[in-house]
Amino acid sequence: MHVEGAAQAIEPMRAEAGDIALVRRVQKGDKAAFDALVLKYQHKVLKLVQRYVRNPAEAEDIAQEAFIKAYRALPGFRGDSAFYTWLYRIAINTAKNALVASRRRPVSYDLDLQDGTQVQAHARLADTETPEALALTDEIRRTVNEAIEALPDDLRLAIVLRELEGLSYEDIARTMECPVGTVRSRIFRAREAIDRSLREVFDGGLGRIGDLE
Amino acid sequence: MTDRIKEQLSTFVDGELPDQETALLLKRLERDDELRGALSRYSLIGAVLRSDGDVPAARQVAARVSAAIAREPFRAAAFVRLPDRDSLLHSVAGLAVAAGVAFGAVLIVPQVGPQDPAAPEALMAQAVESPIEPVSDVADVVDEPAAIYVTPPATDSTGGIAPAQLANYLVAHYGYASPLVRRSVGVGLMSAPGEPALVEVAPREGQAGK
Repeated sequence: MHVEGAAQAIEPMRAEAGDIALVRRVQKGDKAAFDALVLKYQHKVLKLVQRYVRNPAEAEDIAQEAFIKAYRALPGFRGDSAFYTWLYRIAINTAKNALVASRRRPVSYDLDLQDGTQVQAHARLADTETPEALALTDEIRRTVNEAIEALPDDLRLAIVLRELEGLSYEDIARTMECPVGTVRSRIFRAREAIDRSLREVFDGGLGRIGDLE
Repeated sequence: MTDRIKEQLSTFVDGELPDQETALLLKRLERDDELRGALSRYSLIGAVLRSDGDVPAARQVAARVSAAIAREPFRAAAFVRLPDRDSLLHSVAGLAVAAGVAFGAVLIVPQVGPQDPAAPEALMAQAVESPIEPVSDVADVVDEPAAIYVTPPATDSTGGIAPAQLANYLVAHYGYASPLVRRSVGVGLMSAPGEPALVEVAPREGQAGK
């Protein structure tokens, strides 16, 4: 099964509810909850920032700045929108401000800031510049897709229904006619199998696994 | 790290982990770098699957953000803060006096008559306009986070409700009050000694991109 090109990303509603729960924890002073949000979204935010800033190190700096700004503004987040939508806008603003500060031109000019899918459609317009970064992102994509292909049918279906279709565990259980606990286990085993391949990529010289946090 | 923990982590990534287990997992996450790495990779897998293009692997972002926010002071949610229950009870007498004075003022000031539907709103606007620190959008807030808060000066300890508290209370409950009460207390506010109000304005996430 080819998942590459399965374009319409659907952010799972349950994941959004989970984000809101984490946000509430942060608002009560739980910094670990914010750590979890950063770990969860750092790759997406970095990808977003790289639409504007090609240099990987600079993009990481801007992504970091965006998260810190989000942390400082989080006491005022009321959950009227999804957390990532809110974070997305902060990251865009931070990247734009960084561009203005450095008097550089953005990589792409016609992004509709209200529509995250358009950013995805422009994903190839501004890949990271260094050969190492290019090789790594390419290798990550290839590895994930190959690992998905190699999964047993039940594991592959479970994780695809989850990640691509955005179904809840309960809906997946109904679709696959199995208990929710089985869904949970299948999705975990699918992730673990993909993760094993991914770790080999990072261990294999393109990056160190300890760096990927 | 056991498979049980990793399965919990996988469930957490999907937003399906119960609250109690989430709390325990977050504690573990604080001290377990391997678990943090797994969370990062699980999220990367999802991002790659859902993406048309390549997804870069963030290497240092989480660690650096974590170090940075560890130095940040905790800031409570910036919603309008109400007086706590005890101080509210102690302030009832003061509120009654203020309301009485306000009602008298309404009778005395003929230009603010009940036939003018805009009057209560105008009064309230005047009463709270100047003390409130304006916050236009999240972009401003995140660029200058210190502007979120307006710290009040110390209030006196007479037991009467402070105008700042009253203003905050009104802002929060304005929509629930009858027009007469709104007008009365609004005038009461205006007649109180000047004092900057504590109004912590929540940034509106809906305007972040503007």
